Amino acid sequence: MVRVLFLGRLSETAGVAEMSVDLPSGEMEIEAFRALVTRSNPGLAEMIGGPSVRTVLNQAIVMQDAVVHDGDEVAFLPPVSGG
Amino acid sequence: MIRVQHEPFDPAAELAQLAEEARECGAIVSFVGTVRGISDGDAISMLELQYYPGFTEAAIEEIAAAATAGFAVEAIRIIHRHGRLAPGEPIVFVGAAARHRRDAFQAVDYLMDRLKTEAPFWKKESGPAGHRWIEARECDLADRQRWDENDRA
Repeated sequence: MVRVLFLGRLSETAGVAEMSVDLPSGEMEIEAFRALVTRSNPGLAEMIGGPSVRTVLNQAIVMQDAVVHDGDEVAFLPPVSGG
Repeated sequence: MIRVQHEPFDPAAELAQLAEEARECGAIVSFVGTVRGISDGDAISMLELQYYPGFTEAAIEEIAAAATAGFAVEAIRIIHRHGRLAPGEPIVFVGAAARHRRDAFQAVDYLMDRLKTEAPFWKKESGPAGHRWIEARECDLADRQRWDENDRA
């Protein structure tokens, strides 16, 4: 199970702030994982696929390729509002 | 010292704590930000701040470390609130203690400019006109860039 978090306006587009995703094989490339998470929500897919949304895996920003494993935490961060 | 919390804080008590931490210092500068009642001409009845526990604190720690490296400050104290806040409520406290005033002033100025543009908070303003998500403002980004020429990071 992977814990997925949607921050800011993404939580409205996703309809939830948090969800759990099962990985059938225990691991998955981050790109495929994004597609899995957004497969039933084209609006969310467009936002998460855009250049302004950052993907964070276990509290570290994902630069390019990464693999999500069972037990990980993935967060999608829209541009920050600042403090 | 950094804290992200929902609970209200007492700016005077935070200032006193900072002074206690930095007894040798000759200068303490503090800033308190409060929730605005009007934003871009629209009345605001509530501000909601989301943050990402762990990630947000780490990002603020990194900003504080850059300020410590760039200015001769002895102590830094940052308190930031999250959750639903009403106009007028204190939302952020930033304090810096240094031997001399200019380092303390500059450190607080620098910390606020970076917090306003980079701190991982997501803000939603609500009012009679509806609600909207806020992104860092142009003027805040320009303020942030003032420090780039000799970036302290």
